[in-house]
This record gives sequence, structure tokens and C-alpha cells, in this order.
Amino acid sequence: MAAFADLHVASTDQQVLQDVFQTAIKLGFDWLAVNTFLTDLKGKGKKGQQQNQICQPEPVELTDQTRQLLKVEGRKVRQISRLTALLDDTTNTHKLVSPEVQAFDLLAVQPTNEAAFKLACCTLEVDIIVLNMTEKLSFYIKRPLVNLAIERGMHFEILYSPAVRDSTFRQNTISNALQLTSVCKGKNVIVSSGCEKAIELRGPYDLSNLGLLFGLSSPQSKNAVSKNCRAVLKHAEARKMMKSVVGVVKSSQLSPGDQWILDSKRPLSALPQTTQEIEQPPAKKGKT
Amino acid sequence: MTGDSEKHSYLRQVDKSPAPYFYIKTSLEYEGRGLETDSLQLKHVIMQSMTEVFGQVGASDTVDVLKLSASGEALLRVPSRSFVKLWGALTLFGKYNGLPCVFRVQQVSSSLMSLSCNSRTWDIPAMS
Amino acid sequence: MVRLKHRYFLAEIIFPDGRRLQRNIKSNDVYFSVREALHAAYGDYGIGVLKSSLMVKYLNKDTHMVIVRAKRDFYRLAQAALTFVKKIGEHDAFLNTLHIGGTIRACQKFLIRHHRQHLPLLYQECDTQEERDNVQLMLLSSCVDMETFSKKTEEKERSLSEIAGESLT
Repeated sequence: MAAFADLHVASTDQQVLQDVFQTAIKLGFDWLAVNTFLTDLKGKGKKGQQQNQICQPEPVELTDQTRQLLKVEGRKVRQISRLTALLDDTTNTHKLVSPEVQAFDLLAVQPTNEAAFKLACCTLEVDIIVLNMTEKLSFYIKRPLVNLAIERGMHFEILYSPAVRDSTFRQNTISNALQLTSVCKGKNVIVSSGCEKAIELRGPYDLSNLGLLFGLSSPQSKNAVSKNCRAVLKHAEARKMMKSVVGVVKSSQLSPGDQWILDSKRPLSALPQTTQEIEQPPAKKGKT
Repeated sequence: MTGDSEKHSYLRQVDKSPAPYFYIKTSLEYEGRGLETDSLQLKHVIMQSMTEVFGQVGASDTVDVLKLSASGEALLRVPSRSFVKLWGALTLFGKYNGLPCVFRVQQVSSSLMSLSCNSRTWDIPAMS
Repeated sequence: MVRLKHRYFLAEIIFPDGRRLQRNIKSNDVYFSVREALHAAYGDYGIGVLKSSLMVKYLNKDTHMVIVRAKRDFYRLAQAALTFVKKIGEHDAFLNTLHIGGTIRACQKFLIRHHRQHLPLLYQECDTQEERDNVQLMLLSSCVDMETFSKKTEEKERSLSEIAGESLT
């Protein structure tokens, strides 16, 4: 079973983040994405001034209590960085491929109008499409576009923490979520918090029940907090690799967790043999 | 057959009809943790959350507070047709008297017996 | 392609304080009173579910007839909400659901038949001879309409049977 994930923690304050992480870990989440919100995609100013500096969120230091809890349960929690860009118009999207943006693990866009939504579904290389569900959507979610986005492996996100905060937000969230789930038939939907405080977080099993109110079926709503989130992460990984099945990383840049690969490397003398083995099958084919 | 196994024989009951009730084990947490809840207030909070999210029709379903332990854990019983609604209402509940609060649902089950232990969390007394 | 289906409620606004009065009601008033009743009965979820589809499609200020639209998946919530309406605009009023249809056309058809059936009641309420004559005329014309309609259908059936007979022989 895939682990539970919350792919949108909205707060940026380190102290609050610690609180949020502690609560989330207690509730059973294993993947947590800290969001950086980008209100516009405008690049550098005229005189080379950076208009909006994009910086990676700092890794959250877990408190000793949380560490102990993790140790007891034998779990690992991974923090992911995520960038959400507000997509007002269809210009400036080239910023999304810049290295500073690509440094984030997850990329999400929040289109506010029809043209932006179309662009996000059809061409943009992002992982998540967020819609502002606290207000009435200014455009119809069209099925062909959504189908295309699903085919490209993108996911749609429903944020639930506004629904906890306010009554009107709750009405709009339910209304828009129902619209979305009826259009995409419950496929490729993820439910994440978007929380600013620890108190707005809800447990993964609560969420899989909440999904039922959003028009998902029960397996779908469970997948919305687990399997689909994993699919998002895999999509993000694949996006960075472009179209390939093998990635090449310099051995000096290998992350500490992957160092074992170097240790288990075969001796050089064994290498030619393996290449021969690989080359043999096509030769056989040519003969027959 | 030895006499030993006969000693441990038990009655196995299988009920194939849909469960009439669902049981929820939950606790109400406030942000500051400064407030105590008694059973009357808890019931009021639950009813309020149901009315907020599902209106008077939703709140007309009977929710029973079976037990409220000293640690703040409450056992709720609800007819199974309104189980999803109640759980949803508890999830979406965020404020009571302007104070941010949250229902942490520990366990749900269709039989009361299975709430006696929790396989998902491993509570060590020294930890909490 | 799947179409989003709706249910249309044909309802009559009844004012408990006397019937034939010209009242200034807007369709917005009806909408908000239904919405308020929905919110009271089914809460945020009810509103959230029906928000995108709830709509007053038709309001006749003279006959006090309304057609309210709701999404078909959840139309029962709207149906219950209609009965809980207590006030429309500033008047005390309630809604009496006459018909639930899948299209506006079905509701209109029902409305015409309903009005036709209720013409004799109108006759009872008349005070002057002139009004009575008017109503009588209307009754007559509606009867004529019905007669021509039935005649037409009869003719159609006859011609159809003739054709069928010819093809048989």
C-alpha cells in the first residue's frame, strides 16, 4: 500500500512548520510537501533586478519528540519542496523551465482563467493543476482538456483546509470538487490540505471519508491521499528525467541515501562480459 | 481431540446483515488545549457540527455519546446510514465559539468490540 | 457524450393571506428563499451540492407559477427544500409542488393542462357578468382547442390505419 502523503503545506514559518510536521507525522503522513507560492511568473526586471526571488524552503528540523515517535514506529518521513505558480495569463510560462524553478521537486500551477487552464492541460510540463475552489470557478472545466491532462499524467488537487475554516468556502469547495470529480470521473484527483496551521490538518482516513462527500468512490478517495500522490511524485521524477528509462548521475553528486550503489559496483573485469551478454540477442535475431 | 482444545472452545457468531450501528472513537482537541469537555458539551459540539455541514435534516439523526473517558476520548454510536455524514461533519468542523478545534478520529468500526485495541498505533505509555 | 441531467419542479406559490393579488415578486427572491431553506435543511453540503444547478427558470407574476431547476443526482434535496420555504421576498408564502419533470417542456405541457382543468374554478370567483362571459369564452376556446386536437389525432390514427390496411391488402 502506498504511503499517505500531504502534498500541500502552505505555511512558510519554520516554527509553524515544525508544529505541522509533528501533527502530520502523528496522523500518519509519510510524504510532506512544503509549498512556495508564486503570485506571478514575471522574470527579471529591466535592470537585471530579480523581481521575485525564488528560494528553496529550508528543510524542517524535527523535534526530538517526533524523531522518537518515528523511531518507535519504524517510519521514514520525507520532505518535498513544491512550487505553485499562479497562472493569470499565458505569457511568461517559460519561467517554469528555468533551473531555479526546476530545482523544486514538485511543480504546480493554479490557472485562473480558461486560456491558462487550457495551456496547463495541454502543454505545460507540470505535475499538479490546482484550482481555486474557494470561489465560483470563472470557467467551465471541459472534459476533453481534463482527459488530455489525465493522459499526460497530471493530477488535479482539491484543498480541504479552506473548507475547515469558513462556511462559504466549504460550500464552494464541495460544489467545485463535485464538478471536478464528475468531469474527470474521479481519476487523477489528489486531496491535500493547504493548511497554514497544524489545527487545520486532518488524518488520512478522515480524508478518505471526506472524499466520499466530494463525489469520489471509496477506493478512489483512498487513492486520492495515497496512490495518486505517489503517482504525482513519480511523474515529477520522470519529468526531470525527460523521456528516458535510465538516468545518469555523477558519482560525486549521488545523494547519501544512494551511496550503496557505488559500494556494490562490480569489479571492472566483470564488465565486458555483461556487455557481451546484452549484445548477443540481436545477433541471434539477425541469423534466423 | 484433546480435552485441552475443548476447554478453549468459544462461540463464533457471524452476522451477515448490514451493521445497524457504527462506532467512532474520537477526541476533541482545542488549539491551546486549555479547555475541558464534558459529555453534554461534547454532544452539543457534535450536533453543531452536524447542523453546520448537513443542516437540520442531518442533525436529526441520533448520535449517542456512549462514553467519555477522563483522557478526553469519546465513543460515539451512530446509525450506519449517517455514518459517512457524521464522520464528514467531524472532519470539516473547525471552530467552536470562535476557538479553533479539531476532532481527531482514532478509530471507526461497525462493532464495538474491535475498538478495544488499535492496530494502527502503538501507544507506549512513556511516550505520551 | 454524457449530458448533465436536471429535474424541473413546477410549483405554485401560495400566499395564505388571499389569492388573487398582484404581488411584486422577482425570480431572485424565489431563488434566495429556496436557497435559504436548503441551507437550513441540508446545511453547507446541500448548498454545495446544488449550488451549480439550482436556478429559477420561469416565474409568472400573475399566476404565481415557478419552475425551479436542480441537478438530477440530488434533486430530492431540492424537493425537500421547496417544502420548507416559508417566506418569499417579504411575503409569507409557501410552495406547492405540482409536477416534477425532466424537461421544461414537460412542465409547460403540464402547466397548460393544469390551467385548463382549473378554469371552472375561476368561473366561481367571478363577480360581474362581463367576467363570467370572458371565462365562459375561454372555457369554450379551450374546449375547442381540445376538440380540434383530438380530431387531429383521430384523423391521424385513421390515416395511419388506412395506410396499414392498404399495405396489408
